[in-house]
Amino acid sequence: MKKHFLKQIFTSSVIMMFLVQVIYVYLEPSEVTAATAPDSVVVSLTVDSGITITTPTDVTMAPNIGISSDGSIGTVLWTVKTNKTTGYSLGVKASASPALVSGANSFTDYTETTNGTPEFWSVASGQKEFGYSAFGTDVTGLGLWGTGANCGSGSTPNATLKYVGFKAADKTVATRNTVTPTTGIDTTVCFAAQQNGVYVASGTYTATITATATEI
Amino acid sequence: MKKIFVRKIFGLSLVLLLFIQMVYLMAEPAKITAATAADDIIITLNVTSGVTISNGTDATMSPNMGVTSDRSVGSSSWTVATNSATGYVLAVKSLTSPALKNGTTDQFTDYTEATPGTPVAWGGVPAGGKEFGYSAYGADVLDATWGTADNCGNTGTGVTNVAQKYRGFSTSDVTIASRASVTPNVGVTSSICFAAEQNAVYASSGSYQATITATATAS
Repeated sequence: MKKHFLKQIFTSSVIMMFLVQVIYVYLEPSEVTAATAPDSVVVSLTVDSGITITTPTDVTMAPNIGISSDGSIGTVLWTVKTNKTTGYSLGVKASASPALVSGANSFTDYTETTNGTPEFWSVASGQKEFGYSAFGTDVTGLGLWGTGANCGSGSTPNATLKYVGFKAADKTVATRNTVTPTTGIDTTVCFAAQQNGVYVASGTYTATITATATEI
Repeated sequence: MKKIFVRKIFGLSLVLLLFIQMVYLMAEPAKITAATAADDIIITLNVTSGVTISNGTDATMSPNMGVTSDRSVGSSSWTVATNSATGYVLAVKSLTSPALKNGTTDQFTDYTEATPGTPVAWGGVPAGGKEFGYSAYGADVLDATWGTADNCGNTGTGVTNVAQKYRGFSTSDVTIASRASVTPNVGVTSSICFAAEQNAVYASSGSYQATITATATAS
């Protein structure tokens, strides 16, 4: 009888121990969780979009046009920098129409076969014209300005560049749809003037050309 | 007659006296026992371990970065209070890798240390890189690891405090503060400093965000 009683006590103890263990294991993770406290903050950084353009020196075309020299070319280079995600466009325009004037005298703005569409340089007989082209990394993609990589030599415009006459409204010469390098992107604008079978009145002719870089 | 009455009273008194005597003898041992017994009680009070952390304010880094501004700094802070006898640990991690992103448009690389995971003085952003990192300071922040600064630098210029040491965020916890004892009930504040820099490269314009989670754990 006594032996049976001890056996019952032992069995009961084992069951109780097991039950306590199960409860402890169940509660333990929640206690650990309760001992931690999280918090989150949001860190914001705004990167402002911006765009810069260099200010090159004015251009003196060369050689001078005269009774024994019919053509002249000139070059200017603008560098554009932007961090705008969608890039920029660079347009040029003239402050006057026609662009190249000397008092009452002037060069006609270059006349294209199809108005506004650049074409290879060619001035008809009896005409005196002034036009421009462009080349550079962000010019090529437009597919408008030819394949030249310089403005020509001597008094002759580059034969692989395509020219157009200036307008008082912006015409895009370069564009990209991404951020530029911090060193910027160079775009060169080539100027060309020519008299053909006619004399331009002597004098100093000037054109004011404005280049504007705009975030897209 | 009177004599018989007196005898009866006397007899009855004796019986009563005997009865009282018996009752006394029966009660006496219990009374003696009560006068010598002792008992102890144990009073138990459980002080539950707990830890709290304040809600850190979101941080807007300053100045804005741009084509003419290459650096930016920001800060936030958390106050931790605990009654854990063995103190607490405060750790931070970022939600994403890298931490500071503008959606899928662009992102800052997590600050790269010379020895991965070891905070170093800011200034090692290589040309062509743009990076984002953090440092910390406070009573429970180890100076040997995080530097000796007590501010996050200049929010006007974005220049970091030269006395601080920075590292890049990780998506797993990195300890920035700890102590091995109970805190004051007002808690202990740890500040976190954020720094971003572009070097000879433009971060694409836009709004960049990093979500940083701080977790205080009772030791």
